[in-house]
Order: sequence, then C-alpha cells, then structure tokens
Amino acid sequence: MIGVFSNKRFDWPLLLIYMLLVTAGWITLFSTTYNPDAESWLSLEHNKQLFFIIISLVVGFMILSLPNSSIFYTLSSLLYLGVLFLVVITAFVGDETNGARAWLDFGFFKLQSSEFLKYATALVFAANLSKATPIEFNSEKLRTFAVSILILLTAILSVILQKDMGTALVFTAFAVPLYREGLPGEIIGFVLLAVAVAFLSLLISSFAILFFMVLFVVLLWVFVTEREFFKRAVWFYFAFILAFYFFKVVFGISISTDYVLISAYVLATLSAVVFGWLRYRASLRSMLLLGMGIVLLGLIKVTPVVYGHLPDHQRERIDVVLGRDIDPRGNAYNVIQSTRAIGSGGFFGKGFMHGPQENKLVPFRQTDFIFCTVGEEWGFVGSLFVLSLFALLLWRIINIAERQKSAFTRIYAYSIAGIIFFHVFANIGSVIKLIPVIGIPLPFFSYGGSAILDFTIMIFTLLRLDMDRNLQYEKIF
Amino acid sequence: MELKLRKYLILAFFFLVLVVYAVKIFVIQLSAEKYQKRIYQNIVQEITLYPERGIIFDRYSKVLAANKPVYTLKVIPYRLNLIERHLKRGDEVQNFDTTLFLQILDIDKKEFEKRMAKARAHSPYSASDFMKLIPEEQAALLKENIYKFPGFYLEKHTIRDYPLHIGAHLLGYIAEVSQADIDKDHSYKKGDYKGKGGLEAYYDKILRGKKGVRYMLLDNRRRVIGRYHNGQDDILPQAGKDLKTSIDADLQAYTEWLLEGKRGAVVAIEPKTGEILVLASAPSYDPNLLTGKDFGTNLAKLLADKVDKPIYNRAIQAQYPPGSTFKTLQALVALQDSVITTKTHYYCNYGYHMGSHVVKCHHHGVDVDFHYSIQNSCNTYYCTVFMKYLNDSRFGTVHQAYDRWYDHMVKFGLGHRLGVDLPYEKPGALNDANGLKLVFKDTAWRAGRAISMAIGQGNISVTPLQLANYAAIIANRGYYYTPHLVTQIGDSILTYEKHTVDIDKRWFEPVIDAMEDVLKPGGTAPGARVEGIDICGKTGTAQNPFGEDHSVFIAFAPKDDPEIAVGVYIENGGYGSNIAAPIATLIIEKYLNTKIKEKYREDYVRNYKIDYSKVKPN
Repeated sequence: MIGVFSNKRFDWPLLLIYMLLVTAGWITLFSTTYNPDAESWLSLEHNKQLFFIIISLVVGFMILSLPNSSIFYTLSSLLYLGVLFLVVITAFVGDETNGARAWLDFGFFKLQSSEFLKYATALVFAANLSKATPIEFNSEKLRTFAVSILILLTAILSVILQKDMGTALVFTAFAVPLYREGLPGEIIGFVLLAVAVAFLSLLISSFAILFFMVLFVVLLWVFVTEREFFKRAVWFYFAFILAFYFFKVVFGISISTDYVLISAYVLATLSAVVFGWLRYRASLRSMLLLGMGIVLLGLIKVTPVVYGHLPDHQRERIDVVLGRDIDPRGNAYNVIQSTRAIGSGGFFGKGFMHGPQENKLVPFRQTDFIFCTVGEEWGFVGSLFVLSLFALLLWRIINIAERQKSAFTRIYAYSIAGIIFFHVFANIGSVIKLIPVIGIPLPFFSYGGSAILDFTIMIFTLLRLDMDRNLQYEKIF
Repeated sequence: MELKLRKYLILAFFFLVLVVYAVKIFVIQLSAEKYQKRIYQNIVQEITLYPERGIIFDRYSKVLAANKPVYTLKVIPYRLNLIERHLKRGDEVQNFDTTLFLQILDIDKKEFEKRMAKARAHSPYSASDFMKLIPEEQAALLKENIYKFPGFYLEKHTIRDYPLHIGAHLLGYIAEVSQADIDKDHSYKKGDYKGKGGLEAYYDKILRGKKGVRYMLLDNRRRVIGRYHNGQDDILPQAGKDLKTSIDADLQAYTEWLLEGKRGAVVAIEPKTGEILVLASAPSYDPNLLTGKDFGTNLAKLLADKVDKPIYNRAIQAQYPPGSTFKTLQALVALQDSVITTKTHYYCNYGYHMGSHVVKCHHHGVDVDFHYSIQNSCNTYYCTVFMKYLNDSRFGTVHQAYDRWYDHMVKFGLGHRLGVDLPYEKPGALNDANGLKLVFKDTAWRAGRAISMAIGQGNISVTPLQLANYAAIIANRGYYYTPHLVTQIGDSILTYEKHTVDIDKRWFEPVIDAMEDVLKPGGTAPGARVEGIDICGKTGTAQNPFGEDHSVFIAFAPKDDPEIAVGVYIENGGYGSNIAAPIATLIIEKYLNTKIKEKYREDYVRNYKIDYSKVKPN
C-alpha cells in the first residue's frame, strides 16, 4: 500500500480535497447528533459514521492497491448486472423507509443497494460509451450509443421500482458525460429549457407562454442557419397571432388568450415546416427545432395538469419553491425550518455545537438536511467553505478527466463529477428552498454508510484509474 | 478538439449553480433576524401564565377582594382540519370526541360551529378563545379528557371574588382590556384584565403582577413535544402585591346596610391618620355581579339605570352644597381674622335682609351669640359675618377680602381634589374672586352677590369625602392627613402628607364646644345623640333645585380625643337632623362601642323612607 503513495502519478490534491470533505462532514454530523444522554455510544449516528468512514477508507486503499486497473473496465458489466440484480431484489424484499423500499437488512448494516448502482452504472456506461465516442448519429455508432442509453434507462427503472424518485433523478447526471462526448448542445439546452418552461407554467400560464415564445424565437435565430427560412417562420408567427386576435375581437369569440396564442403558434409552426420543406428544402435539424417548440408549448398546458394530479407531498414540495401560500406546518415544514435554521446562522454562524440541535427542529437533519447545521453553526463563511470544497472537488475531477488517454476513464470521471454535482445541487438546493425537495444525501456529509462507501469508492476508483492514465482500455480489450 | 472545450462549459455550469447557491445562502443569512423571528413563531407556543391578582384586605386583615380560578378554553382551528386530513388518509389519530365535548361544555352543535367559525375567522393557525370563564369543576372534566379534543387547551386565569359583598364603589371591578386601553398603555395585551374604577383601577399596576410565559416546543403538526429550551426561557408569573386598606369591613357593611333605599354617601375618617374607615355610596350593588360570566349583562344593567346610578361613586364624585355644616368653617375663619370674637352677637329677625333680598332664618326676634349660632345654625349670623368679612377694609377691596377667605377655605381641602387613592375624584367647587367674575358675569361683583356662600349654598359644592375631611380637620384642631384607603402595599407601609390649616388652635375650642351642644337639647340634632359618647356635630339642610332638601351632617367623637370623623350626605333627606345625623351617630357608636345600645335608632334609619319619585332627575 505504501507503494501506492510513492507512485508519481498519484493525485494528492484529489485525496486531500476528499479528506477535507470527509472531515468537515463528520464534524458537522457530530455536532448534529451529539447527545450526552445517549444510552450507548454505538447508538449515536456520528460514531457509526466514523466506523463507516474507516471501512470506506480501508476499501478505498484496497482499490488503490489493486495491481491491475483494467478490471474496472473488464468487470464493469458484471458489477453492473450484479448490483442491478441486488436493486431489483431490494425492491421486492427490502425494508421500507420514508416511502422507498431501498434497504437490504444485513442485521448490523442496512445496505442501500441503489447507492452502488450509481457507481456500477458509471463504470459500465463509460466502458460502453468509450467505444462510440465522439457521439455521432451514424449507423455504426448509434447502436453503441443506444446501449449506453439503455444502461441508464434500466438503472433508472430499477430504482423507480424501489419507489426512490430522488435516486432515479440522479441518473440525469449522465447528461454531463454525454454532453462532453458530443451530444448536441441543443438537446441539453432543450431539456433545460423544457424544465424551465414547465416550472414557469406553474406560475402564470400566459406569462410563461409569452416568455417561452420570445425565448424560442431568439433561440431559433441563433441556431437556425437557414436565415431565409427563419424569416418566413417568424412572419408566420406574427401573421397567425394577429389573425387569431382579429377573429377573437371581431367575432367576439370567447376563447382565452392562452389558446389564441397556442393555436396561432401551432398553426404557424406547422405552416412553417410544410412551407420550409416545400420551398426552401430546409434542413431536418431546423424543422425539428421548430417542432420542439410545439412540445414545449404542450408542456405549458400539460404540466399544470400533471402537477394537479401529483401526490400531496410532492405537490407541496413544488409549492414551497414556487413560494405559494402553503401550510407551514405541513409537508413544507422541513424546508421552511431548514431555511430558517440556516438563516439563523448569520454571517459567522453560532459556532460549533451551538446550533439548536437539542431541539431537532429540522427533521432528517442528520441525513438530507445536514447542510442546515453547516449554515447554522458556521454561518455564511462555513457554507461558502463547503461550497468551495465541492467546487474544488469538481474542478479537480474534471481536470483529471481531461488528462486521460483513455476515453473510458474520462467518461467515468465526468460521470462521477455529474453524480456528485447533482447530489450537491439537489441536496443544498432543497435545503435553501431553490428547488423542490429531492431526498438524496449530501456527499460526505449526510449520515449513511452506503452513501459514504459509494462516494469513497467512486473517488478512489478514479484515483486508481488516474495512476494508469496512459493506458487506453478500450483499445486493449 | 471542439469537444475538449466543453470542459469549460461544464465547469462553468457547475460553478454558476454553486455561486447562485452561495448568493441565496447569503441572502437568507443576511435577513437572519426576520427568519429567526419566524422560526420562533412557528415552533414555539407561548402559554401565558397569568399571575394571581393582589388581594385587598381591610384594616383587620379581612379579605375584601380575593381570587377565584377560572379557565379559558383555547383552540387552534387548524389542528381540527389536520385531524380530518389524517382520518381521510387513514392514519391513526385520536379523533375528536364531539359528543363528550358538547356534553361537558353544555352547548349544542350549532353553538359549537358558531364558536369555531369565530375562531377560524380570528386566525386558523393561532390560538383563539373558544370559551371563557369556565369554572373549575367544568375545567377539571375538560382537563381529564383533553387528549380527546385535539386542538384545544386550557389556560388558567383568576377572576375576582368579593367574599363580603361590600364596598363595590371603593373596590371597583376588573374587566378585559379594550383596544383603547391597549393603545394607551402597551403593557396591556389582549385578554388581560384591568381594574376599572375603585382601588382595582387606582392600584391596577400593583395588583395585577407580572404575567409569565411558558414556551412549549411544537413539532410540524403543532403537537406539543416538550418544553422549548428546556424551560430555561420560561418566565414565572409574579403575583400582584396585596393591599392593606384602612377600611373597617364591619363598619362599611353596617353603613351600607343603613344606606339601603337611600341616595347619598357616607365617609368616615380616622382623623389622626387620614385613614378612611368607611366609604359608602348608595344605591350600591354586590361587587360580585361584575365578576364571571354575567359581567357584561350586569354591567350594562347597572349602567342603564340612569335614575339610581348605582355605578356612580357619590362619596368622591357627587358635588353637593355643604349647607349649614359649612358654618363651622365660616366661624373658624372669621375668628382667625378677627372679624368676630366669641363674644360677637347679632339680632336675628326672620333672616338676613339685603334690600329686597332676604336669606331666611327660622329664628326671629332673638339675639344670637357665637355659641348659639352654631348650636342652632343661624343663617342671619353667618350672613352678617360673611358680609362683614368681605367688606372689612383691613383686607383691602371686597375681592381681596374674598381671596383671603378663599385661601383659608382651600386649606380646608375645598375646591380641589384631596388626592384620595381612588380614580375619578371630583374637586368640588369653590372659585376665587376672579373665578367668581366669570360665574357672576360681573367683573365688579359686590359682596352681596356671594351672600349664599355664607351658609354653604350657591357657588360652593363639596364631595362627601371633603365633608368628612373637614370634620376630621375640626376634630384634629387644625390639620389633616391626605385621606386614603391603602395603608400597606405588600410589606411596605405607606406614609401620607400632613396638611395644616392656617387657623390657630385656640379658635377650634369654641366651635367644637358649640358642635357638642348641637346634639344636646336646644341644638339642631338632639335626637341623634348617643348616651355615653361625646359626639360633636353640625347639621346641614341643603337646598337644591331637584326636590326636597338634602340632609347633611358632619360629626366626630369622642370630643377630646377623636377617633372617628364622619360626613353623611343623604339626597333629599330633609333636615340634617332627619336622617343624616342619626346615620352619622349610629356609625360612630358602632365604631366606638361595636354595638348599638338603642335598637330603635337603627329601626328609625332603616324605616326612614324618602320618596325619590318626586325628585327631578339631574
């Protein structure tokens, strides 16, 4: 093992950042769950967590000591299938906690199998996609690309089987390596736009529609290279909207402005597509872009309906972020309390062990809401420190990724960067009321053996792969 | 190569999100105070701990005002909605036991809905009063079953109890503060009680104590899960301080009993100390009418009675002409300023003639000397003396002479509030020379214009308290202590200011000698005398525009070492000797001997009927 550290290719900064995060995480947990009246020291979460950290480090160094790094590449499919099997098993026989059936009870240790699915998926996804990078939509590469997507979808489905929506959402993080490997930016942009539009549609429908139309036309102008075609399309929009208004006013048809706009938009788009194809022979890409507009518009009308049919607790989570007048003592309680707890920290915080942890005001404080303790006890300074550590971690991982000869390691590194980022984004975002609550842990901070072990394995695997950064696994096997 | 650049886009996206988060955290933590206040409101339920109101004792430590526990049933309406929601979901929760609830409170479903609607309208999330003034037995039943009534809790209060049923006017009452009270004094909060009238009002800040508060920690369903901060922030209520008064409860009760069926007031003072022994106003009411559930209706009823005005404290608020009792002060001032001597005598012929105006007198063809002028209450004598005083060139002009006289009278406590420890005391009326210019609408008024003041009529009025107070001054031969009710607050003994009048001590004896003879054969009130007690008194029969003359009497006893001074004022009671004097001497006898030797005197007073139906309302 000592040999590992004398390796000149060992990335000390990443290990240091990792150790800092683990230490900060454990101190925070200690302060949150400290209880002098506890019956036995083993019943305390921070003591158990210390044990998990030690196990994680042991496993981590075992990974570093592996003589051959190529087994990550070669055995990834096997690992993926194995974990997938475990996850599916768990979905049927596991213990249910907070609505999700995600835990396998091994007596002393409850295994959250889906945590390891992220790691296994990252490996197999990287191994597979490394054969098809850069991504191009031609027949030979399309099959490999499709398998990569299938790997993701299977993983997502298995987690949904566990009713663990939070973890299922984590897999959207694979958009990061996909983008890096050449997935068109328009697709990513379109998805992000769709989320934004759907979200806006819950606020004010008409406003969302107008906002969307202006935005989309601007985007069209940027991305549509056939400018003549684009000009015609814009004319169609104006013409149809004016026509509809004219009919609405002159004939006094009592339909809402929303529908006037939508109908005009749909008709204009269809006309533009037909006209563009007949007259200008416009590219498929341009016409697909126009078509996407209709999908987005559909989202504006569909989202509120879906929202209306969501289970109460999920709808309330969205309401909290939308700032709707919701009952502060119901399901929104967590978030309202968490923002207040953080707010009470002020600039410098209340100091170590001075958060009102004895009150346990914020439920799930040691797990999904652990960031409250950071905000409350260490204030803005501490919060900024933790955010910076995560930024540093992501920066380091991506830098490591880019120096790899092997596409496999690069994709793997981007995958775990995406996963860690999504966890930080979703967890802290929930706690500070910027996004609806997604119940996933904050890496290295939240209490939970499976999570700390999984994230440790992720980092140490990268450290081990990085030591062999000159290998090109996909060329060897 | 182009794809490699996407690294920067990805990193930029990561960092952008983290920066947005940092900004949001900064915003949250910058407005920390706002958050802290709201966190507090959300998780902490404040339970007000009401202090025990101070107890009011009489001079022998008999309880005049005590406390009785009652409960307010509070409700947080939202909790009930929550139960329904849980039931719908099929969660196991304690359902609301409506039947039992209605049964304990003795209300029907309709009333329940009405009260709930009111509470909801007030606030669905914070506590509202569901029912107030629930007696202890009922509250015990509620407490026992409170877990069956989620959303409800009890708050203990105390209400007043006046065990002796006396002293309504001097004690006053307490009532929930109005919005106006809160606006005036922010130390009062909604739901607090405040003394209104009497000692309850005057000493409210002392009696009410300090409220405490218990902070309960709530979970996200507003269930109490324990004490907030382990109760470290709780504030224990501080009981109000007790008041020891100078009232003699037995004498007060006796006086009120004597006054039944009459209108008027009696004040008795211990001259040496200024301690008020009795302060009674009639008609009166049982102070317990203004406690508990029927407070509102009873108060409305009492206030609606515009004829008897039972709420009106005549003892300190009614301003009556002092009538002939005032002659004692006239005599003292005239002697002091050498306008007369004890040897001065005037001839009385039906009255005092001033041109066509006559101040009538019942004496005719009699030579009246000083002693006789008081013993027999000669109007002519005092009109003559007053005219002589005002026209005395030694004192300058009439107006200057009047002001000299006025200054003496002010020293006797007339024309201004005495400063008794009760609210709403009236000053009575007495004007200086300039004041009279306005009253008479004549800047150059002449002495004759003020003639009726010579015999305590006209532009002079006193409260029964002032009446008793100048009886005490005469008893003390020239001084008085500010008349007061409270002698001790908690453990600290109060001291009151001593005032002296500028009349030499030697001038009191001839006046007191004459007052002693008022109660002897040949005086104006021989029927009121008490065997074995040297009572000095002076009758008054005050004319008034409303009906029969008022019956007035001042007295003190024993003559040489007075222990009690009394002022009695009975509206439309006729001659002073008719009813005021017998009442005064009964009170004196009762106080000095504890029992009445001649029972018929009580019967006389009790049976003395005054026909108030003929009195014009004022």
